[in-house]
Amino acid sequence: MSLNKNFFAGVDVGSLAAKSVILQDGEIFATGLVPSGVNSVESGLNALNLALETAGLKKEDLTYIVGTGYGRVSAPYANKAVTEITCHAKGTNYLHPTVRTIIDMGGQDCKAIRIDKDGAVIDFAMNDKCAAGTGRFLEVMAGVFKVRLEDLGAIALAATDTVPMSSTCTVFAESETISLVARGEKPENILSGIHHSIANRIAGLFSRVGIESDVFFSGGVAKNIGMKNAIEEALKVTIVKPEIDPQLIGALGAAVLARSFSKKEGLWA
Amino acid sequence: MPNSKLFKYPEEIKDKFISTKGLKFKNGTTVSSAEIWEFMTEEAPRRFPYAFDANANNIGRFSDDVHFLSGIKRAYLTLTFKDRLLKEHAAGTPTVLVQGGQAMDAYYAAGAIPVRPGLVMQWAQSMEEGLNLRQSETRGINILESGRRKISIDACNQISAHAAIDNKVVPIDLIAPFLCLRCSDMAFLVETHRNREHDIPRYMVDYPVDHENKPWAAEYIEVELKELITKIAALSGRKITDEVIFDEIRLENRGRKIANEIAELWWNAENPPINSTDFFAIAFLANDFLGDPVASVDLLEQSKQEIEERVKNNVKGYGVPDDAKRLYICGSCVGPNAHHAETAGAVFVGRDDNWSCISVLVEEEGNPYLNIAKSMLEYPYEQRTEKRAEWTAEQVRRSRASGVIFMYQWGCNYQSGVARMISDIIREKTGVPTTFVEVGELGRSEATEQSTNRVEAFIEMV
Amino acid sequence: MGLKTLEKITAALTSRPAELEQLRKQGKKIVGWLAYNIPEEIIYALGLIPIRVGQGGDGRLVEVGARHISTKNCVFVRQVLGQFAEKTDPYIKQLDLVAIDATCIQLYRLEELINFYFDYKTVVLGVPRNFATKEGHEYFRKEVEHFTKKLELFAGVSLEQSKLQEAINIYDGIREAIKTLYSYQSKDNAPLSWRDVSAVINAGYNLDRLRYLELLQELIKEVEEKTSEPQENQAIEARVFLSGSLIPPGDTKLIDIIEQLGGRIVGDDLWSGLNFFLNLEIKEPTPFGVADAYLDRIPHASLPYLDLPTDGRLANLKHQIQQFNADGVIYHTLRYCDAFTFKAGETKDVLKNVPFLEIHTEYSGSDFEAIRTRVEAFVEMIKNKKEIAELV
Repeated sequence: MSLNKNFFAGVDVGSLAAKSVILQDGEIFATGLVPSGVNSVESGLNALNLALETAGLKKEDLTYIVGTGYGRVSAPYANKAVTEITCHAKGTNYLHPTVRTIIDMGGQDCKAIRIDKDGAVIDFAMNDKCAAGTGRFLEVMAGVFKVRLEDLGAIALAATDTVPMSSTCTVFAESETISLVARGEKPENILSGIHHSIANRIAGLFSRVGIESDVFFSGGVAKNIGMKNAIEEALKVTIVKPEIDPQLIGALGAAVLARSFSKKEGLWA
Repeated sequence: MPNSKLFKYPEEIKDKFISTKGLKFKNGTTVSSAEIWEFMTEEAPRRFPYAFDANANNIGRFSDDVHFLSGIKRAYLTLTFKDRLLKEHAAGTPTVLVQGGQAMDAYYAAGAIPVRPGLVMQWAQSMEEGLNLRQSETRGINILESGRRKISIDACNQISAHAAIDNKVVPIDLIAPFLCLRCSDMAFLVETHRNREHDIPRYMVDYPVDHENKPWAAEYIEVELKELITKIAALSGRKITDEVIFDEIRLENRGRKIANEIAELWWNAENPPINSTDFFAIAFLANDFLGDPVASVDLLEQSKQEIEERVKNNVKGYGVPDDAKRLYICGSCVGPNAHHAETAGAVFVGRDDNWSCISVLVEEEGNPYLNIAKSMLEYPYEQRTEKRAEWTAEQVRRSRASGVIFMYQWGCNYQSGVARMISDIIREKTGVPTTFVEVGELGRSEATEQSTNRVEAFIEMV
Repeated sequence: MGLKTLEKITAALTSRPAELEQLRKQGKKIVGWLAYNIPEEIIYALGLIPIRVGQGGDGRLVEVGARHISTKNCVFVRQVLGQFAEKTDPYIKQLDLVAIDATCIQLYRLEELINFYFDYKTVVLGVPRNFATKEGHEYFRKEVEHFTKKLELFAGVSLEQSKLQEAINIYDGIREAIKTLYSYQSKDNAPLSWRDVSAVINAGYNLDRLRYLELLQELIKEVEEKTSEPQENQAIEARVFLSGSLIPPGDTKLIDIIEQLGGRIVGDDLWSGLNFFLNLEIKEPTPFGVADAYLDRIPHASLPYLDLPTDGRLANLKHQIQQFNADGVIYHTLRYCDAFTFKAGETKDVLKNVPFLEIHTEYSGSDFEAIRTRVEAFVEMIKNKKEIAELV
């Protein structure tokens, strides 16, 4: 065991889930993942407590906490707040140093992030106000088809035919979907169309920032196999296999930053 | 739905069809009706299966009225567009991206083939053969999305046409549209081509705001038209004299006159002699001329004869429902699906978009450039919204419409901006119910249920 | 920073609506105007009172406007329409005539709507899209001449060359003063913020122009007397340059966010900002001279340049970024403002290595957090870069 007993935590409160990662001596010590509630402070604390419990630690054992995600603006438990863009860059770089491009799809937005060899952000682009291509949107779609969110991608993979769909807007996509259902299209074919149309939106973001290998896919939606395949097809890339749950990458990056901030602030040598 | 039935022209009409006149083309050749029949029943279904998809959602579905033989010839012109363009282009005829709903006289006179965005999209889609409707739609969407990726999701679907040009899906030699007031995207989209890999020359004929017959507005366009023709002539190698332009003006005026005569015949008939699909196509024949004004005008003449015959015998076009609700369509550049509307009990009686530019003839004497400029400035569709609406209200009265639908495409900031005002004025002037519908299906092959629903609900209300 | 003249400007603005009421009682007429190419000099020279109208940032007014226009129209246009519908704005309710030029075609449509639905007397000035050509100039000259004639009829007087020259002198003075106020932003420690300058510009559209010029000159004098103070702040700054769609008075969402997150706005090439005052040189005090000058300045993005190397807007943008020593560009686009939105990707390409962030937004507050995240990450990115550069 290392002499360095410092523990660092990252807490990422997103619109659908709150995540936390505790690092010790450069190793992931424990993680926590809970659904977000209406109170973002509480959600963050829940996620953090879950990780602390797993680790057998108390909050006081933590040297430094960085908050990220939408909940970062109200995270009294954190020493510092950093955006999830920077955190996803750091977290990805920590696990996969060869990655230069990140696709992050979370609850309410998706991001195209370009990073350098040190995990510093060189450029990024995010979806506009329209929610197409986000976890929230997929949740709505899961509702339309009355299936579980986590099954959407696998269902889409069973498609025998992809229904062409426009990427204009969630509003259009949703009504288009409903009319396709009414017309008797097979759900798997429609879902395949939805995934491809979202992938087209993502490709639009990358037309602004460019792509450099390796490519990583983070965020909750990264667990959707149908989405991963559609993006690989649209961007003509192969996505690096994640070493941990890709939904935890932001929290991991925050923990990595907690470590360097606390060092910089002279809290340990 | 992906494996829906394919449409076939019935054998029993073959003898009658091949006994009719063929079509004359501008290169002096004539294609016989027997050749057209052969193409439409053998070659085309093999090469363009999507076009024969009998699904009611197929926006470009052929007319069911197989006894209206000119309709079959029109489908022939549409489906040979690709072959004719590629052949002419290979022989040195420049192809030019233009704006829809505008006079094409200057382009054809200068020796070019003008192609509006809608036709570029169709052309691009047809470049891959053997596709069914679903595959063709997928191909179209892929082109559309590649355009949106480069520019913006806020753009109108005509972005597909620009993407097809950028990606060299179709050969276009000059990007030189009229800007006019109907379209809010064209000027910006022409500009985007400056940052592309191709080096296709660009020009635009600006359309100055003019609602007071300002001489300097016409003079401005006149100079621009001269510049346009010089640019095209440099590509076509044609020597352009005033007489060459007047020849073209006379030919196209003839097309416009026939189209207007057909409209009058149709409006005044006791029973609509041809269905909505066939009727709306008349305006396109007299507007963009499908790459060959000689063939289009020939076909317009044949169409008129057939329609006259039907009116005389009080024949109702196949597909037109009994006691049809008469709908006038406004807006641009989209229209409702005719098959759905007819099934729901309506028929389309007119459309301000395409009829605007054929309602004005170009003067055949004097300064041809100035004459074209003046006619452009007179288009009812380009007037102040109040005046445009008054003209449309007059059309509504003349066509005895019982309802008006204003439809516009997502991304069109112009038509969306005036939809409410035009609907209000028409309702006030005519007492006819109006509605406005926003759709996202320009250039798509399949209609969406959402727009169909709105149109059907409106028909029920009327 | 407590500049006395800024307080004076605010006070002048507060009393202006009442002052206009008085002036109207005395028979003066007010011409409200919108867009980019209305030659104010001519309005002023005819003894009419020019007021530039139109505000942003109010989601409620946007909804009011949207009753008469589609939700797919530019949000600024919708809000202005809402203002005309409500007639509670102290300036809009006092307008005797509204002048709109056809630079932006959505604003041009607005003219028809306010004329039809709200009975405003209107006048339109055509603007050529082939603006760099001889025929485009010829057309615009005649348009400005025609516009002048209409205003003469409205004012009941003829345009005198000497009056026009007087007006030009005042406006030249205003343009020079605004440029001076902007120039302070190139320094590390500016005596007044970009937000102050922006407020000063917006005030100017409502105030009497001669009085405004005096206030500007007073402000410059006051600032220059103060600037010898030593600089204290040496922390790493993220110097942000604003480009894209207009940011009209009332729309402070993006500005607030940038400032809250420690970004410092140092310059802009907005048509509601600096661009409006640049490169406008009237060589001859006639409608033709005015027309040429307006057409030859940096054009609004609605007027297309068909070739990239000749694009004066981009050349100016590059120049200004350097001039203001900016670290990155935030390119603000309003939803359905195609003129700027369609150019975002290309502008980024052209600016190559300048950090660039597009913010696509509307006047509702619902995207506040989303924008905050983007801007915060952008500021983090710039600061990181500068930190690393400092270490090396």
